[in-house]
Amino acid sequence: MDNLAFNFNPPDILLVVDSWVLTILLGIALVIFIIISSILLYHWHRFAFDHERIVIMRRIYFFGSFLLLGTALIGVIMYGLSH
Amino acid sequence: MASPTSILEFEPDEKIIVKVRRHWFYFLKEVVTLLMVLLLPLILYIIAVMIGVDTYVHIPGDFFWLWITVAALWGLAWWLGFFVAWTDFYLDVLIVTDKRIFDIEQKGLFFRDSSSFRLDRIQDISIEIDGFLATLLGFGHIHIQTAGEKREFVATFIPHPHELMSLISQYTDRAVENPIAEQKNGL
Repeated sequence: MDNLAFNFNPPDILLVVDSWVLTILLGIALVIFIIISSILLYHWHRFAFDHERIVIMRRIYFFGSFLLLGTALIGVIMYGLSH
Repeated sequence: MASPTSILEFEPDEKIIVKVRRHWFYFLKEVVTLLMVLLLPLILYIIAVMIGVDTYVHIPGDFFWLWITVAALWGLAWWLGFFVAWTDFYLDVLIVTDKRIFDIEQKGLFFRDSSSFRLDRIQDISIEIDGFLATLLGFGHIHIQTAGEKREFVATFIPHPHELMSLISQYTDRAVENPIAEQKNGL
């Protein structure tokens, strides 16, 4: 009997990663971002003691988030264009 | 705007002596764990290139841009996780007033626990500095024994615990020496 490990042939197409898959992923990420941001903003607004520090952290949070969302958006567009 | 001090019910003449958060080392431990998770897309990219991912997965576009998108989304998830962890850390506060100690603990995003006890109920305070890092960085746990239902209160990862203990002892002594005035003020 042949050893299965030596007879292993990878399939030609197992999974197709099309640009719409990435678009859906980006959409889901955006929804999660909006939900978590709303919760975080509520907590910072309602329970934080040092509002000056919170303002700084809020700016850092949104700067980083939009940077990453923007990068993901560019990635999706470029990936779609490179088909 | 609602301030957290308005959420806590202070007595009219009650003064906040100090607000204490956990030592930054407590947060650092969580950040280190999160940083390891952040490296995952890079490791997956290396593995994908090594095994020849296009043999198993059909990628109609440029693999580089696919990786950029996935890494950015992963980074976003990490970024959100970091700020949730930071909020959890930042909203945990121990407030010592001239009458009471308030302990506010944020557990995740949907659970918040707050408790308080009067200084004149304190029977014993002790601190525990456990290990090399705790000694070097100056943090420890404070154990407070009280007369009441919740007999022991423990505040963990407190920076400069000796100073906080002496401050609490000082105000506890005042509260015990002058219980009538304290009760009057408490009404």
